[in-house]
Amino acid sequence: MSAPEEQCVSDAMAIEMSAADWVADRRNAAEWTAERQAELDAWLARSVAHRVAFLRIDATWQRTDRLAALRQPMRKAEARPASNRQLWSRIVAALGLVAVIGVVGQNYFARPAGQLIETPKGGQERLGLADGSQIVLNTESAVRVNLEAHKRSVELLRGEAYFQVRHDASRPFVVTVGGHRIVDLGTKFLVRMAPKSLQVALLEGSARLENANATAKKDSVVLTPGDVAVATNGATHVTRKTDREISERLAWQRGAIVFHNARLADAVAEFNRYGGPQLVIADPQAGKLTINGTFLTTGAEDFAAITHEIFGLKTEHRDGRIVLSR
Amino acid sequence: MNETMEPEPNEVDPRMQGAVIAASEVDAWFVREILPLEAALMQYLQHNWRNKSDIADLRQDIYVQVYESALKGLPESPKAFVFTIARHLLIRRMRREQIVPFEAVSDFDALGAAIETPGPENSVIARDELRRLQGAVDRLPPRAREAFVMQQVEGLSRREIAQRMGVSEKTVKTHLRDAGRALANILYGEHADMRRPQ
Repeated sequence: MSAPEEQCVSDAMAIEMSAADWVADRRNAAEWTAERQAELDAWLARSVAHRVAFLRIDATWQRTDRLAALRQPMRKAEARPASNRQLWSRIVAALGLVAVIGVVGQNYFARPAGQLIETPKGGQERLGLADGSQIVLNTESAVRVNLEAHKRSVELLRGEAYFQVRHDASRPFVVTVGGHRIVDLGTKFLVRMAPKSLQVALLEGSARLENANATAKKDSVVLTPGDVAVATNGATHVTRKTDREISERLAWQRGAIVFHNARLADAVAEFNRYGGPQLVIADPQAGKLTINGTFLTTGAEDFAAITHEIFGLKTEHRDGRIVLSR
Repeated sequence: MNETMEPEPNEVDPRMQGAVIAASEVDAWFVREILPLEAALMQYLQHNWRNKSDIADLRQDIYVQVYESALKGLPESPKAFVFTIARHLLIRRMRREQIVPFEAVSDFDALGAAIETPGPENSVIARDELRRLQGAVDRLPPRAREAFVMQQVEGLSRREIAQRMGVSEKTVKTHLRDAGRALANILYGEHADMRRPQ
């Protein structure tokens, strides 16, 4: 790597520096606003040289995203930069996870229509559709994708999927989930089928959530960024979440789970979605304890160890399961 | 790109025929097919262009042409596509600058054929990729590496990184910029295994 000052400043280098700034800024989620995004879009539209430089640096950062798999579960106060030795030792620990994450990014391109795509427990898959839309499937999930001339339909059969839809008014993008339908109005959203409810989190743009059987418009609700809709058979409730809460719901795309004041019972259920040793809480009272933190989706054992540290719970390995009790 | 040159041979993928190709599709294609060729492309440019300080500009011009041509149709062989564009561009520059004999680029086919480019998506398994990423991070300047690891591995915010490093957020931004550029040059611009015989 020659240092920049050794080279003469060129047009390409100036563009590359701007591109590198944009990429790094965009990843600073706390300060990334719609205005900044609009500025970035304008910058990208200004010249193809900007665009290719941005794609190159952005793809570089994306490649390094899998280093996040090395992230240790830790309480914030303890967080400190890893030395190289620590980083290296974590690689070995993370290889199992990476083998799964490595699948992401493949099969990126056009998919034949009407295709069923599934992920196994602990799996994840990123799909690039021929229309430029993207779907990322989380663990144990399945979608059926059907792109037609005048309609794009995706059925979420199980699990959880993130949608980034390229809006086309003449070709609506409709996601069907059980008895509900989500109609894209130009948007990014996350859909999850929980045991008794459907959850839709909207990140960008807007989308309409409606009952697939209802004909009357009044049964539908339009979601805007930050909205999380929870639909059960009877009713739909919409609550407003912060950007941070919304982005944490997407942590699985980086192989992580984030808990904020989560009940232990819910946290355990979350881990159990991803395979690895199943966690069991033997004591219902313990299930009501709350926990914060960021964990690897494959970090059930670390999680159990932390509950021991923080709450003094006993952890017991039994038939491939980890039983937590007081 | 105001030079008069025919678009490079575009063998349009039959799936794409008649379709207007979405920019996002070209974006994905560019990242998936073209960037993994960068190590070979850089080798080619370094081999064929005397003035090393031009190389970043040449690479940019090639990428711009590749991207613009791809908007009209994705080629069947990305590698032939890139190297044809590179070769034409070098020839035009040589004519203009009248400094390098044309013969310098004539061994393109031999060179191009000899260079195998295992992209991350075909032959490099995740394990090797992770080691490679680690190796690349190790080679960053210390402060850039520190900032980068805090952001990418530890997941800290810009503000937290600034506090930990005892510098301004603006300085962190500069470190992250340096890290991004250097990593792109290592991860795309160099062959995965530098010891591989060429």
